[in-house]
Amino acid sequence: MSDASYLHDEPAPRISVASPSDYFALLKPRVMSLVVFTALAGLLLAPTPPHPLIGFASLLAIAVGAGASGALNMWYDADVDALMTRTRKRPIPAGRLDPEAALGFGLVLATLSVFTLGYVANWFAAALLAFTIFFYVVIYTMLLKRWTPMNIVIGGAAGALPPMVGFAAATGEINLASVVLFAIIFMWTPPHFWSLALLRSEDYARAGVPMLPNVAGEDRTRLEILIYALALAPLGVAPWLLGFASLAYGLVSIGCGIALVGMAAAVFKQREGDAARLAARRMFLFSILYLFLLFLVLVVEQTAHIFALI
Amino acid sequence: MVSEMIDAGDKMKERASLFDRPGVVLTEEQARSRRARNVAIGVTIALLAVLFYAVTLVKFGAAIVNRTI
Repeated sequence: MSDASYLHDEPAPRISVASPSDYFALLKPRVMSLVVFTALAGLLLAPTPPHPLIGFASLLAIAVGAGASGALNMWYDADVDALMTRTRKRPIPAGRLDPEAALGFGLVLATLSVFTLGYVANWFAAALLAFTIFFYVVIYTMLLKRWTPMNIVIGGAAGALPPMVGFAAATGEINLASVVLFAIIFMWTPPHFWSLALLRSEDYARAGVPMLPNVAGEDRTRLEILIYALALAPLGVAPWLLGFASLAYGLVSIGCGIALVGMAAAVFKQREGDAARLAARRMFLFSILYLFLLFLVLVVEQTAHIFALI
Repeated sequence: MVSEMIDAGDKMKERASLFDRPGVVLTEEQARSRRARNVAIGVTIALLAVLFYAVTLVKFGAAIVNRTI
């Protein structure tokens, strides 16, 4: 192009009309809020809680790191997102934001979040956050998601790491309690997403994403949901059994675990028509409530413990 | 040689006249979204600066007042 030819001889360069809210949507705010919540639980498990401002800044860095992962995921998956009803209104497939802008945004935020956590907390936590972003973007999004129905089983590790990052931010190390929280989220992820996949199997099939119902069939998926729920329910009680959560947590986790297994059993049993869809939908929604309640009790009792210390 | 120099001079004048014209004119929507993005970036950077300042104070603690003047 000659120096100024685009001024008059060629169409004007495309100028973005993306609003700040489009960039915010790239961060996957709902996922980010879950990450903040679980990281907070990990952070509060520290024997000596950090200064409130250090804790806040650490959580902010972890949240931004999670948001960066979301932005990079949306950049890479824009083609798949455009084919799925659930995701086609995202900023890139909707045409409100250029993929290159999302890539740059994600990379800048990823770098900023890791270095901020390193400065604010410690470099072990920063390295763990960097690994989490790498795992979600490269291992899950780029390698596993379009390749194997085990995508969310292995990729679930990325979503399960925030409590460990939170604990590491407060202490500079990881311990058994933070690993147990990791394990709970890790075991929770497959039945949660497979319930969604049962409801959206046509969507995933159209996009060519090999989710379990499309590859192994719905019956096998229902069985896997039940198996994972049976494994998750006792694991959810482990924080109480291991002594880092109270009896109140133990009772909530037992009650919620029984309900979760009951709903997984309903998914396994109801295989046809509206009843099957309703069972999968209930399982999907309750799995969100299950994880929320478990971590809420942990956060509340750890906060009460800290205030009692003060 | 001389004619090439004249041609080059003409081209420079032509380019200069191009730059005198208004160039790319943003639509109202483009200008509004650009302004909103700029404000968001400015506010974010300002908050980040305040956060880093406050975190630095907390990390130094009481030692921050121990300095030779």
